Amino acid sequence: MLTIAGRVDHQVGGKWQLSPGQYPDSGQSWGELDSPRRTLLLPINRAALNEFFSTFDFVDPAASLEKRPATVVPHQTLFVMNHPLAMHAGWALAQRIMQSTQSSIDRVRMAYATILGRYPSRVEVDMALEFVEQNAKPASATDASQAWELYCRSLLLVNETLYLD
Amino acid sequence: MSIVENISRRQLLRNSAVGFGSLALADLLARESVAGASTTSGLHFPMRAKRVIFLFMHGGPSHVDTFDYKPLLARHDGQPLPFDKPRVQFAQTGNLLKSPWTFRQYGQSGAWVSDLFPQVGQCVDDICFVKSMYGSNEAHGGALLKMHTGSDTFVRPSMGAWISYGLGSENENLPSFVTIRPTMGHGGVRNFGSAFLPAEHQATRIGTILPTHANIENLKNPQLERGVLRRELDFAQRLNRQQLEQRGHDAMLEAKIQSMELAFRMQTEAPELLDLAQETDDTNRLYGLDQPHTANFGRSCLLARRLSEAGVRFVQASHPYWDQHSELKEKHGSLAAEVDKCPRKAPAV
Repeated sequence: MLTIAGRVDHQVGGKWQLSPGQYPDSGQSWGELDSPRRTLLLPINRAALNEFFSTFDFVDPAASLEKRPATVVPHQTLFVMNHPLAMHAGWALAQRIMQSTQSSIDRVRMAYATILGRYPSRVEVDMALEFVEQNAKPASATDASQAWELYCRSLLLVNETLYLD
Repeated sequence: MSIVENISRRQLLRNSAVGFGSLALADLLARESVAGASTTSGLHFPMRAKRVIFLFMHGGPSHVDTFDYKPLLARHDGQPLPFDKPRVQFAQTGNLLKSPWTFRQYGQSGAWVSDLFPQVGQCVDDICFVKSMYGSNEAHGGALLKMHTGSDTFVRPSMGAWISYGLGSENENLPSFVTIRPTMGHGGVRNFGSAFLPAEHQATRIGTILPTHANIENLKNPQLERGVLRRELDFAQRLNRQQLEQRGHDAMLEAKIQSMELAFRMQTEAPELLDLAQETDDTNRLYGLDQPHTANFGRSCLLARRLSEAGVRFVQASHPYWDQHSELKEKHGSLAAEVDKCPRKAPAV
């Protein structure tokens, strides 16, 4: 999400924000854990796993497991649809692609490259352009830039974004 | 339509190496779940149970101090155990300790209940006590897994998943298996997972063990209204379905598509269900919402009832944390007070 939003900080370093003896547990909202870096080491409270982790199948620390569970629950969708972090990622990406190029096709290609790590097929480009056009119409109550934001956020929702095959 | 039709060789090899038995059965399950009917077609026996509410006391209330009266324990108080210790114990033990609480008989059944649960005692004639259960894993994680899924070694579906699979959902806007404020440790999601059953049978979680209002996160969008979200979702689903067509058989992707639809519907129905503000004062009193010590679990129970009435097949409400290696009297005492309630006053025994 952070990479997509362009917020990730690639500097190695950074400390855990909590005071000594405090562990990230269910009590912390995602915002409190916020440090825009990739995690190398993270203290875990075994008895109270932060709910963001468990929503996305972080392994339970109490039992050993040969394979991480792959759950499919509505929470995952709700997170990508409504959580501020996900919303920001979609918006930020839309800004980036709109600023990078005026070409709609290139914008779609950039979105795919950033989120899905591949280029879109001809069919996917057509679907994207149709969607953006539909949502830029006055009748849709969203304007052109909002249409691109909507598109980016739709891509975030897509199954392929969430699962590595 | 023949089941084998849409499966490539690669998928055949992939699917038969993991999970449940035969590929054909897995596909059959997936197709039935896609069709919207999440039950098996044709149960072996007519169903008698309609819904389950599972009140789970996490950490383990001591049975000899609650509902399992042991007169010999009282008699041998202070003496060493007169027979060999069971294999499943690892801590140091001392001599026998009789229960700090008195046991009494209640109701017409004469069931024995300790003074930890005087109110539950009033209801014993409606309760069936099963005293023959025993475990084989002495650690919390293994024990919870065993209790919830039947196995601490293999990954198996949880009780709720089986019920959901067998009975299906009565309400298409809600999941058929909900767990309220579960512990996320001690087996974690496996305790309410679906293992090899179709993924839609795993639980939807409401809240966590923290005693805040039980809720489902991210139900409301801070900026966008529902119509806009629907357009987003529709487009994403189009791409999902396109991927599904390309891949042919993919149970997880089908479950994902269903799950996304359910998530959307939950945005409308769930908030009202979770909103306890409309309940009457009488109901609030009944569930202990008017008392600070019973309010939290009372809320979970009331929520469980509302979900059940709305058609959810299996609801679990967990209550932490009964792990009294020490401070038995104080903690068991206060924990029991949080859950001890009975809707009627029986005549005194």
